[in-house]
Amino acid sequence: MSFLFPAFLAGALAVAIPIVLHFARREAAPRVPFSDIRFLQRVPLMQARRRRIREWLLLALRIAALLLLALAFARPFFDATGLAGRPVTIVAVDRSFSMSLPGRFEQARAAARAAIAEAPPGHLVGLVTFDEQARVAAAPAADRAAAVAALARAETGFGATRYGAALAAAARSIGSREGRIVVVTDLQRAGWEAAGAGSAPPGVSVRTVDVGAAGPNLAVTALEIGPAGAAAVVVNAGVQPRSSTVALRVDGTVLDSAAVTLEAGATTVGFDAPLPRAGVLEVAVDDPGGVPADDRRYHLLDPPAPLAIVFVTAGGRSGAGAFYLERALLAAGDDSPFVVRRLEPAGISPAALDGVAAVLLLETAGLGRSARGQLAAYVESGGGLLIAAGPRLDPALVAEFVGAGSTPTAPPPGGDGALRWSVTATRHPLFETFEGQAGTLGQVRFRQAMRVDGADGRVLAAFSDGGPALVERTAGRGRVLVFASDLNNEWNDFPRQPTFVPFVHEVVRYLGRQRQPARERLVAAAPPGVDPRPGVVIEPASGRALVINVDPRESDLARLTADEFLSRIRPSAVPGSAAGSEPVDAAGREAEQRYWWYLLLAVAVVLVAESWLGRSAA
Amino acid sequence: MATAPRANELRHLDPAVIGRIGSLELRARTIVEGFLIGLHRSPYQGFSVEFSEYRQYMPGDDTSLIDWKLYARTDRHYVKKFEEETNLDCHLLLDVSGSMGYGSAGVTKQEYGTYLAASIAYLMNRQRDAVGLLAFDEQVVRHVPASARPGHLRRVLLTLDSLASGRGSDVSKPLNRLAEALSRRGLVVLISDLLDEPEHVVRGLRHLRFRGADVIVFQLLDRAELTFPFERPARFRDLETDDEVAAVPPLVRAHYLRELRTLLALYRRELRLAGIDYCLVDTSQPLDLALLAYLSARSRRH
Repeated sequence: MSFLFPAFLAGALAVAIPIVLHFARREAAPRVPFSDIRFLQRVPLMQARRRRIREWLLLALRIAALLLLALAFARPFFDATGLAGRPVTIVAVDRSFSMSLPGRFEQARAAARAAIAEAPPGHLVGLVTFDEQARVAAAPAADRAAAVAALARAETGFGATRYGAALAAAARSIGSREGRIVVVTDLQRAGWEAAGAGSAPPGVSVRTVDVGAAGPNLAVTALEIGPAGAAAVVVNAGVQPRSSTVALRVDGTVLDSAAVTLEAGATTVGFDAPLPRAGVLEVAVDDPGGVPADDRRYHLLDPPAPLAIVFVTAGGRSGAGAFYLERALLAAGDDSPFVVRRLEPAGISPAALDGVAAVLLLETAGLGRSARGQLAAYVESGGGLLIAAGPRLDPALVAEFVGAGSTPTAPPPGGDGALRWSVTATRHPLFETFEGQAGTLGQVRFRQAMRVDGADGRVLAAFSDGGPALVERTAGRGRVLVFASDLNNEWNDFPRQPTFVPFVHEVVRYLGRQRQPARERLVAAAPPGVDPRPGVVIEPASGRALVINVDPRESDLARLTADEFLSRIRPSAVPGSAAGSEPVDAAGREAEQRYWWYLLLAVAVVLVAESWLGRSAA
Repeated sequence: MATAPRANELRHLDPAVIGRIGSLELRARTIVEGFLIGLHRSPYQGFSVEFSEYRQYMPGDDTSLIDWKLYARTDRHYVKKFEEETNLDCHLLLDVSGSMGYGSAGVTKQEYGTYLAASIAYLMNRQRDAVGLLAFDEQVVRHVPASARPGHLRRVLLTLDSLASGRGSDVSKPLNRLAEALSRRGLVVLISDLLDEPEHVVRGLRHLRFRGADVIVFQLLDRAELTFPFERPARFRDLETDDEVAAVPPLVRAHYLRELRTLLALYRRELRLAGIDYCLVDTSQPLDLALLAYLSARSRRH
């Protein structure tokens, strides 16, 4: 027997209380003078003895109640049904969607049944099913029927293969015992490449049972929506070209279809049909005999909700400090993906920042301590903050947000625009749009800039004198960008450059990315409370629609040999019952057994008996 | 015809009130006078045949006692009062054993017994009876022979006042001794808790009765002895033997009361059979009940 919270067993020391009280009260019986004690002495001995027995019984009941209570709080459980130490065979069955080829999973079930039956005598047998996540379908038990029954219930899902997860779950189930892991799988190469090498504890051998190569399969692996229409990438996993039909549907209505001949490998199929502004786009390839799950892919056409952007300027609504920036963000007119609002520094509050994707801080006059704290909390919780230097920005604020040690100082006035800047982190997502043309940003002439020295963040762009021009720092779940010059045509001519608008858009999109809800997710990342299968779902938390697609990597049916599979497994240094895995296991077992509930019931029964006995003794 | 004494008169007979009065003589007088006021219409008034004095009629007096000749002469109502002839030897036997020292509230049984003995002595003296005292525990502690001489009452009361609590009790011994010493028929008043071997006690009393004495037995028991009201477990210590017994009162109460009832029933039955007046006295109750019992027995003597 083990305990989930053994510290509570210390509560059993409380049994000393009734024992002490029992004896203390016996000692405390006062002496009472009485005229004649003959009649008292003649009390039948049986009655006194019965009384004594009853007292001891009461004491025993009280002690039992306390012990049971301590035991209940310690949450006892029997680990692996009391069969600790016996070797274990875990059969891990691949339930990824590549196994959903017709007849494939039945084959896997038969192989798994055979593996269960062939487990050496004396082994406990458990069952793990896995795709991206592994689940212990049957805990190791001497009775193999449990594993067989769990196997009969197992079905394929829509996840991708992850061998590492399967091995980790099997190792947790085996614990510190010796054992075998039998992996029943189609030996997809992608199952290793995605999750890296797996490990097996010492004393545990791994064997694979191959359910055979997949036949020819077609899969839609990507869907791109451009101004010209939709384009789908269809992959033919076989070696022979195949003819098939690719259909484009919106909300179930076929908009377009194309009969195509698909060579081995990826083919892009384009559709010219104009797309509506809203709806669920679905591209499906006709693939009889292939894996059904990857034959279609979804895309949400509904325009994303515009990002809420807040400018913090000293003038609030009437301030001119954000003129260029605001114009740049609203350049798209009614279709602008941004909603812009101005705020005075004094107006910063949690309510004002609620739902805001990014805050652009341009002027700091009137920005109090509490407003700064609220900005910091906003960033910690996933918000994006751009601090643009300028004549009306307090340099100390930069130090506050880009970390201790930075000493921003305002440069001496003057200069003839000799400063230029260049991107140092060209692969940063911020500069993806410029597609290698980030050099065009270098046209900007900076007459003045702020020195940001020793900043605790990543320098994305630098001035020609070596000083940081754009610094990024992550704080909590959010990000802070510091632009070391002004964005309102005062210290530079950036607003008048053609790169200004795309730069500002990218900065704001990048900062607001954390706050922008995902519109597409893979099955493994399906939000909680949502059935993890491809299609359109409504996210319960937000009420927003999003599409779920299968992981395209799973459609790559390239295979490993059994030896290649095994060569990816490295022995782990510590036995499987590493401290990290055991509590998870223990909590699970305790939750299954829930003996504490019966113990509390027993406490109640004992207390009732105690009160009944106590009352009848009184 | 007797009427119940009124409450304010009974107040004088409450043992707790009596206990606060200074000397024993005063206590005895208070008790007796209070008692007699309460009894002023009592038939016991008439057991004397010798005229004593006239007294002005008070409302409530028996109209049959009004001297109508005197009324004719004086135009006032007078009632005749009579006085008892002294012809009785009365022996007070007071138990001063250890168990008599028990008292759960106010007075102990011995104090109560002392008041009772003193009251009876006072009453007897008033009636010119010869009164004697014998205090005992395991043996006779003090003995004052019966006498009706003036000043004898004072000697009896002083003796009563000086009695200390004794040890174990043996009622039969003084009874037998008194029975042997009894020269003529008299009244024997035994004041004791009778927590002794009942056979011995009854045998001794029968002995006395056999010698021709009228016997009144006052068995004094404390309220706690009668009801055993204790609740908490305790070690009960015997006042006579210092033995201890641990008991849980709620558990032993029923048994104790049953045993006590058996003992009392035995005394009641055996003493009645022997022609002995038996009076169980709760020491928390006023003394008048005991005095009434005494007077009742005294009246039957005539």
